[in-house]
Amino acid sequence: MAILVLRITIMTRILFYICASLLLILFTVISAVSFGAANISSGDVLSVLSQGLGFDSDVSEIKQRIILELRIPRFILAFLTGAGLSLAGAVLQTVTRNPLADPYLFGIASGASFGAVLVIASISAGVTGMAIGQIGITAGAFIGAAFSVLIVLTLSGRRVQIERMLLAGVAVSFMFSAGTSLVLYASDPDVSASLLFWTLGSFTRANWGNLLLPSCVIIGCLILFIGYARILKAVLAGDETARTLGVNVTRLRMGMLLLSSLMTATLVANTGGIGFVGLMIPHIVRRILHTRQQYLLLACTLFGGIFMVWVDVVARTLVENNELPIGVITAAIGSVFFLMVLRKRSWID
Amino acid sequence: MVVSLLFGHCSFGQEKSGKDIKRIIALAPHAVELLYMLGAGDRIIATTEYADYPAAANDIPRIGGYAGIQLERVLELEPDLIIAWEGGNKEQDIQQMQALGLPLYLSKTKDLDDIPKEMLALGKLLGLNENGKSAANEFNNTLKQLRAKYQSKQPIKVFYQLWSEPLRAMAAGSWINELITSCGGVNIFSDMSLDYPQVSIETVLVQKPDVIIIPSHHGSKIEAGKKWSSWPEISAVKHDQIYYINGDILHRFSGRILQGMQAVCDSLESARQFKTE
Repeated sequence: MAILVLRITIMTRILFYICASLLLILFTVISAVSFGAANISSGDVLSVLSQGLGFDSDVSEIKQRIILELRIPRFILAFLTGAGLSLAGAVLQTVTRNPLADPYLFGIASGASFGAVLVIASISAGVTGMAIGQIGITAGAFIGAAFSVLIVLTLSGRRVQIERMLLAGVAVSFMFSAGTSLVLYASDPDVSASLLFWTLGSFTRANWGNLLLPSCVIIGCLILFIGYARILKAVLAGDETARTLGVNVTRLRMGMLLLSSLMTATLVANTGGIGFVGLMIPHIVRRILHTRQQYLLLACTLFGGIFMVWVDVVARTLVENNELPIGVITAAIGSVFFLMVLRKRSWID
Repeated sequence: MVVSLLFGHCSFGQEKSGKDIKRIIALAPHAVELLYMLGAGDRIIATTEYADYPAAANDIPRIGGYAGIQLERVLELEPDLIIAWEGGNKEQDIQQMQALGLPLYLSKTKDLDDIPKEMLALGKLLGLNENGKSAANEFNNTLKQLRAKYQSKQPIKVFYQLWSEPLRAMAAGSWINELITSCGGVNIFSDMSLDYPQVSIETVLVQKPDVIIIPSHHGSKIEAGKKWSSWPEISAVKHDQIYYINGDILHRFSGRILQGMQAVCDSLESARQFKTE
């Protein structure tokens, strides 16, 4: 009897969380999408969205097109970026048992940036054709990211020492940043200005066409991570404990790092450099929610996405008619957060 | 004594003037164009990348570019005059050349009216007074004629797409804004606080320009205008009023800028016929 009551309470709780999340997403869409240069109200957004459900909408055609072709794709790209980076951060923090791990700290993002910048620069210089586009840039980013994971894992020794891994990550990060700077320096002034802007992070290129790849990658990885949530939890208890539970820790860690690299690379290829989100969101989520690993991962995805959407709103509206780079805002918020975390707890435990 | 040796006499060579200036280093493409125009092109011994007009300028040795200049090469060449560009050349490079006491002329051109002033100043400096005066007069007359013809015509809303990735415009205070208003146009981003504001497709949609002008460099032009094709709500797109004008002409403070201005005025004039419809 008691077990049944407990089950029902858990079920209602889960149902409550699902409803609350959906409402939160809906609220974010309606309010965030109504910000921008054109005068569009939340009512207009709601009206255009409800059109999809068969209701009539009296919003002018130009406003409809602005909402559907400019603002919603941008919203989705921002959400995916925040969600993906937070998810990658949460997984990296788990498999390395280091609360300060994130795609940027391990050199994954700088490897991805280097790969992407190299491909973009060669497109601009006419070395490769324009046709390789998004896939080519993503592939370049992934090769760069995977390469940095390999270096970091090799340097961190056979029995992975977390501190060594972190230091190797920092070194690899610097190495690839140097490569990126070199490409920037060697390019034409107008190409390097575009590249520089790209490295600061932006959602300006969002359109329905280039959302498919990042959505597939992030949703796919989310499902895989949730499937592996129990095993991830075992790793959290220590490599030895995980091994006695029958987990091949080395292979798991490698797999998780590569999946995180794939997510990071896809996002970097589409949005450029956006740091500190992967560090910050999992931290906050873990502090607020004390729940199972799979729910934590889901919560990180949700809050990361919503956080990024609002960062984008700030970027678009802080200076009138002018857009600020996303990476600058996240780094400003994130670095302060990083310092606060360092002050509050001793993190080598 | 030692101090004076170190700091007092560290200027290189004697200050020369007029026809005695035979070895010039011109550190900006527009300076090279002006020198050729004044008839002093053959005195240039070194320049920077992108100085490609007139064709003869391509043969001048290069000693620097976008990322800075090679100061040691400058010293080695023992120039009688260096023409540097305030705002274009790196601030540190200019300061170092000043500290070394090199014979420096600073080009500070900011708007159209500064160009004839510079022609006069350089003409005087190089002993080519008459050439300077006639070049300046010709420039002033053409500018006056263009303004008289176009400035008070029916206003046309213009989006000057300085850059496409990211999308950048030019605000008031720039010479491009001056070009546009002189042609009877209204720059849709003239009230922005930054010089080169980054804008979005949406902000352009809201402003609905009658004409879009894209400065083209190295033939990358088709990509830059393509993004507009799906927005016929903008009258410039609807009436096919997107113009590509050679950016080297529009962005260099030389005599050729008036050719660019003529092209801008022509494109505005062509957009006007759709305005009256």
